[in-house]
Amino acid sequence: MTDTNEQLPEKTGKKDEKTEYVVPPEGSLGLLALGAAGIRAWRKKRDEVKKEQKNKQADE
Amino acid sequence: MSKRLAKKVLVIGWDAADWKVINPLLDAGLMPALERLINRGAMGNLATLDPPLSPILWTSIATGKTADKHGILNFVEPNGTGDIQPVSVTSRKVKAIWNILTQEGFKTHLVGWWPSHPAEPINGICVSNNYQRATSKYEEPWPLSPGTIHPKELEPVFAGLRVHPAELTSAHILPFVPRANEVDQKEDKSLHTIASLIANCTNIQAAATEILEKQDWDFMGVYFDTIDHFCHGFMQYHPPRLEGVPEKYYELYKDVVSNAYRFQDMMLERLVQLAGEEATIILLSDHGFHSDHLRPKRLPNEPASPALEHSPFGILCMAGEHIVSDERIYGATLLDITPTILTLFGLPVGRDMDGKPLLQALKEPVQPELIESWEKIPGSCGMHPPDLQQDPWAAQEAMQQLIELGYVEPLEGNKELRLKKTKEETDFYLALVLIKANRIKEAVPILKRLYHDNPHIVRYGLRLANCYKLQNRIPEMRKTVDSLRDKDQKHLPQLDLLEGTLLLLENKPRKALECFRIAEGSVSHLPHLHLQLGNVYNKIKRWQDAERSFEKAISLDENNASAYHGLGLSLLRQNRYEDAAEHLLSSIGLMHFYPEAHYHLGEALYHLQRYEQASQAFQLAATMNPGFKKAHQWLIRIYEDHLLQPEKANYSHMFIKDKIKGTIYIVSGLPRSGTSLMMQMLKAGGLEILTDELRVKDDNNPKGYLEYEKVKKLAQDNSWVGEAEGRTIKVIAQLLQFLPDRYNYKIIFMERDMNEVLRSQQKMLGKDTSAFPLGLAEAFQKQLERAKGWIAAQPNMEVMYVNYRDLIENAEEQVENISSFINHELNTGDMIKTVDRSLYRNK
Repeated sequence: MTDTNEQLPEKTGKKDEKTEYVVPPEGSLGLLALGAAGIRAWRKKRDEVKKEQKNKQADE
Repeated sequence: MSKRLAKKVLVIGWDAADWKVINPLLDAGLMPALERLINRGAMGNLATLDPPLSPILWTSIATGKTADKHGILNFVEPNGTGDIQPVSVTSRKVKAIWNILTQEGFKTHLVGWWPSHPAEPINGICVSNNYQRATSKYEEPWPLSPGTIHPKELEPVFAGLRVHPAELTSAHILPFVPRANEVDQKEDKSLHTIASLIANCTNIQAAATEILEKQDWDFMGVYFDTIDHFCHGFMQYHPPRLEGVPEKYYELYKDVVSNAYRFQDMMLERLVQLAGEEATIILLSDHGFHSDHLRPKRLPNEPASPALEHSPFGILCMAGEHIVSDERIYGATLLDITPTILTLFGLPVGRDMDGKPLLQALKEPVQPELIESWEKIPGSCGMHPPDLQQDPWAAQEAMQQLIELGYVEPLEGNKELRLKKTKEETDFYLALVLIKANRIKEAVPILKRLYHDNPHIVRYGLRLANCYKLQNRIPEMRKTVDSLRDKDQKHLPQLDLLEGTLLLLENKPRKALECFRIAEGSVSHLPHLHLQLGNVYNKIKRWQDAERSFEKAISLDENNASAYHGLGLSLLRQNRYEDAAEHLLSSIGLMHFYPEAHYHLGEALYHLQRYEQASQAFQLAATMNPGFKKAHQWLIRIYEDHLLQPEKANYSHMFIKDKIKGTIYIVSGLPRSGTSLMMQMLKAGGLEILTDELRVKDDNNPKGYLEYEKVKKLAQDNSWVGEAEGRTIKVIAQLLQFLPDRYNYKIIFMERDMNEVLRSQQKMLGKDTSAFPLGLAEAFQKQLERAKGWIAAQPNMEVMYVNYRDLIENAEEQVENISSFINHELNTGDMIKTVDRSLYRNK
């Protein structure tokens, strides 16, 4: 599994623009086109959903 | 240093992107990011180079130099251990733009450029073209091959960003292939290919956006091979449906190429957003990709054959604060990109660069500074030492992709043979580079050697023949074409096209027509064929047939300046002056430097009584071609007879008087090769002959020799040659070199079987005709070859070769050819009557 925790350090003095995106767990071309940020967001969502499903199965 | 115009420059490469595919998508609003870029900037075609092979081209883009200078000449290269490997950046001999910028202290990043492995130690981040491709199965370790990232400590960041094709879901695939569930994946690996290409593209985008978001930068270059690879795999299914493509696959994959472009557009939006408003964006491709009837029906079995799917114009789009807005860029080539970037940064352009800055794209006038060469400016520029060796495993993985794409043959069999073939192909590509740079003289020895060593490799012979054509070495071109014909088992249409062109140059238009008609059976989709057909028809004055052929050429290639010119000429000769002018204007609109087109436009305008415009057209023709006597003659007529400005005609009068001498018609060849017969025919046809008739007719020549005594001493004294101006004179082959070069000459060179020539000579001299004088034959043959080679090298000589036997047996056709060559109204009936078959002796 690829490790997406490593990142380049943020540029100093640059205003961070926050934009809300809907991130489907199956991903989308839009997220891929977004680049690094989109890939990280997708994988995060995907892993969250997988974990939830796993926990649910364990509960059942 | 000049003024720095651009704060930042982002160069985005879309390999194989083509306006022909993009335009309908723009019209449908399906590429909004590109549309915004075009609207705020400038766009145009970007002319590619030859051979149109991507690693060569992207290096020319990055250096501003042709491949013979930069050293990247193939997809592969020797690996130093007796085998081959993908071409590496260490084979580049000169600085790329990122090296120059590194040296000058600019923050410079590079992602995925081809070739860029191993990553160079530039003043920024370099992600090599070994980065994006998955080399192991999903969920297995996927290490970066050594040398993929500079600086090395950032490897974990970029390694973690990569997406594996197997990681993708139906959400990624279905937009490309909506009916993906109908694909039988056991038989059809297309979905796997699409997933790989999406993943590769995503990885480049991920690396580029990571850098743009997090790093300071002045310059970034990002290269995507996505469109090219999608096109090689799926352009066969792109609408309109090609003959032979099964409907099932057409319906499944017809939108794949369009969707690849749309995906790239989405990525473009993100890159432009991250680059910021102060960045200058340059979006380009190295060549186009045929998407219509010009898609090849099949690819030959030869190295790099997929390049036959490439078309000669890529795209260029530039936008930024100092770039003009909503304008068209004309005449740009790949070689102009680096000089333009240097100018944007206020840096000088090397005189050794083959391109020039695209000043037309800049808002303010700029005078770029020039230096001799950036290679002579010392400094740490981030290039590798030339002996750096590539990691063999990384090389093997990258090699696999080249094999899968069809650019390289599978690595089977003998290593030594593979290496030899690679060297030969590299030399062949070097020859192509030299031809494109108009250095034909340097290309010829390379092609001669290659063809000599590999006579079965037709493309070597075809290119060699074409070189001879460009050098006007018609006899050598004939020899090469004949040898290709001897070996042609498959009856190649290219050979018919080439031979047709040769026959046209040999002034045998009817035979040329036969060849083109045969070629038409296989390559009727090629505009060049119809162009040549039109030229033949114009030559033999079949104007309506010419008109049809040129119209066909234009329907296949609407940007063909020669076709518009040919069409205009055929209409001119049918006295359809308005139509002629319209098409001739189209021709010069496409290619301004075209003296013949300006000349014929002048003629059309003259007949439309638009004398002022006609004079302008003739002036341009004469300026572009200073020896254009007829243009000057028209100008004299217009100024004196119509515009009543005789003083303006003075220059043309003076020019003709001082610079242009008349034409002298020469009949030449070996003695007894039919020269006297030709002289008799031309006299019968109405040409004035220069003869003193000192040599009287005899049994060997009952109708007379028609010679001029002074010719015998031509080697010692040629001052009298002016007496022959406008007339015809006989000069044997060995004496042609002594003709003074201040005249123009049209030479009819008689050829006859050497046996017949010598028998006739022996008989004339009263010698025994049964013994064949071998030594004399060889000497004459050498003299002939020397004479022909010399003639071909003279710019003031035109030559037509006439075979004696052809003349006797097929006088009608030959007389027509001669009349066309002489370009005079000749009495062809009397010329034909002159031929007396009973005098064809010594056969």
